[in-house]
Amino acid sequence: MAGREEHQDPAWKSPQDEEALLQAWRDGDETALKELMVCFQPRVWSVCWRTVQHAEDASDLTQDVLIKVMQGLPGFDGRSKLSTWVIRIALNCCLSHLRKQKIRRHPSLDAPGGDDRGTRADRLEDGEPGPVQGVQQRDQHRRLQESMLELDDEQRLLLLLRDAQGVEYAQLAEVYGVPIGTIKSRIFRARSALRALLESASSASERGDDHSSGYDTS
Amino acid sequence: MSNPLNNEQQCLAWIEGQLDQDACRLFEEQLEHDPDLASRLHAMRRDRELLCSMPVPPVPSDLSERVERVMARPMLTEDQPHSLGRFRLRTRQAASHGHWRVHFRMAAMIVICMGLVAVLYFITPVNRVLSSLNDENMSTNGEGVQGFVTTIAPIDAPVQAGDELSLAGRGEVEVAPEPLAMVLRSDSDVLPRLKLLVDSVNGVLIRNASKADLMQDGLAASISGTEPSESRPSPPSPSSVLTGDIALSPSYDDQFRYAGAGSIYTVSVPLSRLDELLAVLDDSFGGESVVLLLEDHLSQTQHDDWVQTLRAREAVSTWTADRNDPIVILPVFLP
Repeated sequence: MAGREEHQDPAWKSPQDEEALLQAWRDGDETALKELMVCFQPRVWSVCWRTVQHAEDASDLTQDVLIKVMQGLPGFDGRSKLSTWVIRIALNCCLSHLRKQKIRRHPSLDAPGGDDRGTRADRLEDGEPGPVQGVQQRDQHRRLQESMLELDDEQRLLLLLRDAQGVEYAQLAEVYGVPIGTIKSRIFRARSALRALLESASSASERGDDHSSGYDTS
Repeated sequence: MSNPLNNEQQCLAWIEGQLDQDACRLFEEQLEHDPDLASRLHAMRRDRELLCSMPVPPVPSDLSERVERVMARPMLTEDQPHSLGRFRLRTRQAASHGHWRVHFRMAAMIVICMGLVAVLYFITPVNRVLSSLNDENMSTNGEGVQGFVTTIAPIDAPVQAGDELSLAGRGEVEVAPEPLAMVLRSDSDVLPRLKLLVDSVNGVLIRNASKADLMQDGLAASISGTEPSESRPSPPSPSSVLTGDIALSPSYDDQFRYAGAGSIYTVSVPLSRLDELLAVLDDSFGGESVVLLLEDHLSQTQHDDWVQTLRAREAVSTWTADRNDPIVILPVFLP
């Protein structure tokens, strides 16, 4: 996961560092495992949060992924990079979660969230760090998030891993077990599908006299 | 030369800014002839930029703690055994590998044992052997417990010399390889809470037998054949079973060991309900409880709790591989 945000993260470690920690743990240094988990935590959290866009679900999902990583670590054979292996686990957990939650996938953004924290739309906004971008951009983010939720699960995860996490094509190809060309083709299709959803949402909001019509396509 | 606009990989590379300068210029020249596609690709490029800049909330501060807590709960859907951990497996555990070498070894041992029995039969009078075994097993003074190695069971019928005693269902039930111990904070209502916990999963809660219990008439004898009239086993004191079915309780030799290590109670639960029990444990005892490797606890390990729970989980997950529904036994410590 050589994504852009990892480098800003103090817990970020190079693949070599990760392998060294893994080796240290195998040599009996049990604190190395904790350090590995700390290093994976923000990345896994980021994938999970972007996948489900719900803090509690993302937290549960991250927890599941980390536990699976810890369980599987003794059997990790090193045929792929450690980070690739973690991505694969995260991906499988996310897909499995999405399949289980299929019914709850498209709740109304105006519907109560089942707790005292307001509507789902509020929570989407709450998840963002602050008004560093303008109101318009926040609105664009919101539209993007909504459209992402409408996207096919696999396409959404592919786009998240590629764009939001900055995972390389070669790594994605390894995770999915397909050639790089196939991954590129799938990503292009996912981009096209996302674009279609955004255009559809944009025209719907224009019909609904929404002032924040998103970003144009020109 | 083919039109790059027809090549979706070229389009993708342009969207992601991965074309070199010349290829990019050529691509954009072609793009000028197709305004619709140009518009779409520009929009897709912005989609990507927006997706890249989408903020993510910070990692919840309690996530590590949650992971640590859950690590104390064994997930029962392990996919493969691991090599991690120093836990021991009981010899009574059923062999899970049907490798020919195991069979060969067993066959060899059977032949050797039969030979030894034959020698003993011809050299030593049977009564003398039985008598010596009986003396050893029934010893109740000092370290006599060390020789007390058979499961003692409550029975209704008189026992004849040579009879084997076992509880219904217990003989074939595989039990935990003692990977775990439950440590609870000792307070006045710990017992009722423990009972509720165990009841909620149809488990068994017993008060562990101690060496002193051996002196009581109510406790049972060994299988090695004694005169029924003198040492007939009888049911253990009902007060030792606090809740549940005694058929699922640990053997007395295990109880002696647990009691010797300072564990007053033991909980037994079918493997299928272990996860449920630990979930309820979390809910009802919260931070006042921890589940860890028994040997870690007894050896005053220097590892921190996080590693202990990890090891406990690992031990259970390794042990539970390829097993159906054995009984898991958790001695309870109240430090």
